[in-house]
Amino acid sequence: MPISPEKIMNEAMEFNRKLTHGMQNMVNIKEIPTGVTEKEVVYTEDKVILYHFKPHVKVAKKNKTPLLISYALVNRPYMTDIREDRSMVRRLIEAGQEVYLIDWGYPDRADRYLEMDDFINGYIDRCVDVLCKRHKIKKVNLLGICQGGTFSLCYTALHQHKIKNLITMVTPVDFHTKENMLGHWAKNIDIDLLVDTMGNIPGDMLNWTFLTLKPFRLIGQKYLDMVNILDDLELKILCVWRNGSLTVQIKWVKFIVNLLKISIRKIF
Amino acid sequence: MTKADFFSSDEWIKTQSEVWNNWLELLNKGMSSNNKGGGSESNFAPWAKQRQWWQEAFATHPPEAQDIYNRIMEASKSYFSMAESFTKAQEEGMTLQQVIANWVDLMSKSFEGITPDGAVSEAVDPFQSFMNIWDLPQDTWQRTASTMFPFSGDFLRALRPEGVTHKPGDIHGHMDQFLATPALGYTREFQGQYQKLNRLFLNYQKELNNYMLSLSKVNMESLQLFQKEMQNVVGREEGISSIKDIYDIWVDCCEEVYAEYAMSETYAEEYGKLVNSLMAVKSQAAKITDEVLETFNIPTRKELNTLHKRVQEVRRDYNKMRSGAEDLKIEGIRNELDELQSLKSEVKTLKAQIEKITETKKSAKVEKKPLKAAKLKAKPKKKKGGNK
Repeated sequence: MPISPEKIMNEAMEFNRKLTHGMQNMVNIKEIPTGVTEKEVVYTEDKVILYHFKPHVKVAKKNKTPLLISYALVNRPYMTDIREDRSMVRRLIEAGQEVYLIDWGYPDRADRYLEMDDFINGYIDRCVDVLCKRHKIKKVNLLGICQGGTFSLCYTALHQHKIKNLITMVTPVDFHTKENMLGHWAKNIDIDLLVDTMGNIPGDMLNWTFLTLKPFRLIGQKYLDMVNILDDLELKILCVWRNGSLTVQIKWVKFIVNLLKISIRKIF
Repeated sequence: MTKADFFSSDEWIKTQSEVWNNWLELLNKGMSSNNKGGGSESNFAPWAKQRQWWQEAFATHPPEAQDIYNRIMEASKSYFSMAESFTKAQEEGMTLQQVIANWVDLMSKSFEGITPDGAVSEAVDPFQSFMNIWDLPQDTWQRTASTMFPFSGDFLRALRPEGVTHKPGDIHGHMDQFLATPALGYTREFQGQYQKLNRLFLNYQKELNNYMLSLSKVNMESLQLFQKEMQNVVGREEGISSIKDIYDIWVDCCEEVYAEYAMSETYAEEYGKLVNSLMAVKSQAAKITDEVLETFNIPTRKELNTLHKRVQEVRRDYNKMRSGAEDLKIEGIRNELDELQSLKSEVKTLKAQIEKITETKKSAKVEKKPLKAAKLKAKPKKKKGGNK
């Protein structure tokens, strides 16, 4: 059926109805839950916190090897446990897995001199040791998510004797792909100037960079489509995640940018 | 009034009814002559009022919620503007093809009025709110950049002079020349620092303008692609059934052209120059700030950096030593265990030797007994008084 003024009118009315309903919901939003499973702190160092999730169900058969989750520095780890029916942590516990998670915390300028070595051979290694001591074992299972996956890969390569199984999710490994837009953009950036000037990369800058991968879709269309699902809590949670980039240590960015530059040199 | 009451109050209902009465009026009467060529908001005064309502309702919300609200409002504004312009044109008796052709023509004219900073001139833009989508990458960059300066993004935008180009004799050239004048006198070093900051800032503006102008070209190309796509879609059987369909095609066209441009060498160069020039300004500003702080005997960023670096180095050494001590402790325990093990095996060996000796002695005893018996047996009995 072709478009007509009446049709446009009806469409606009329907849109406005949804928008009004959605706005009503949004006005009444209270605090967005971040993490639903009960957890305890088992180790802290600087801003790093190692959590152990308390089992919410009794499981007949338990895996003797605990799982350590290493999440991305650039986002918040509660995304693994966002709500009861959308919690990877809960499903793992129900499957008989002891789950631990590293929360890297919110870095500030005092952390600008932290290097890859401090993260991989420092924090992660000490967290692994804590698990080994608690469970009287020599090896753990390691799950790396996103940037945490890259950390986990590096860690496993260096400390194979401490890792029983390595699992990676949405982990950047190959920085040599041709379609790599971020790598293409990074090749003309003076990384030393960036390092000396910023110290840490602000979350706003990261958000901007990710949004400009698809600006019209992510800054415009996404919000128009959002009107259709404004009564869904999940959407709000996704918004929290989408714009939840944290300030990250420049050394990590330098590491990634250098990887990207290496890949660019190889491509061109 | 509580937040929940906002949507049930009489005034809210009145605003809603005004919005839809305007729409119905537009639908029933067609486009009135006094609306021709008017701004896109002309029939949308109640819609603007509605926005204001929501804005007030969100005023006390956390910045994240306000940000989502603002973005939804901006996107909705484009959508409603698109719906209104299509309704108006169709009421004039235009076909969808004519509406699109007319619309593309108007937008092309608007692009002719693009200012050097890449923004669309409002004077010639009848689809201003509709076209806001093209400002999204620029606007987001301005917001990001403003978080790195001590002044707002609006200030940066307002400061962008139209004459900032590469051409000789323009404002940029004069400013550059003026700022290159050697500083004199007692405060010459300090003056030199400020001159350098201004030069870097002008350079940043120049790079920003180049970036924005390139994005404007992308917008123009996306418009051409949109026209082509729309012609294809209208010709198809399924055609266009909603404003949202048109909006989605438009976004797809913008993304397609942008993606191609973003992967080009030109973009990589412009992007690199933009970020580098911003960092240069920020770096120089930090240097000047440090010098000012030093004169007031306040700790500077440079000093703090040195401290942070040293603290980090000390922590690293400490962790290394702690780990070393742990290793030594483990080694000590391991040595003790080894010693214990060797002692154990020594004891075991000794025990075995003792057992062996004992066994030997025992067996020797056993062997000795029958011999004695045999000896005794073999010994002849002495006869009593035989020798006598």
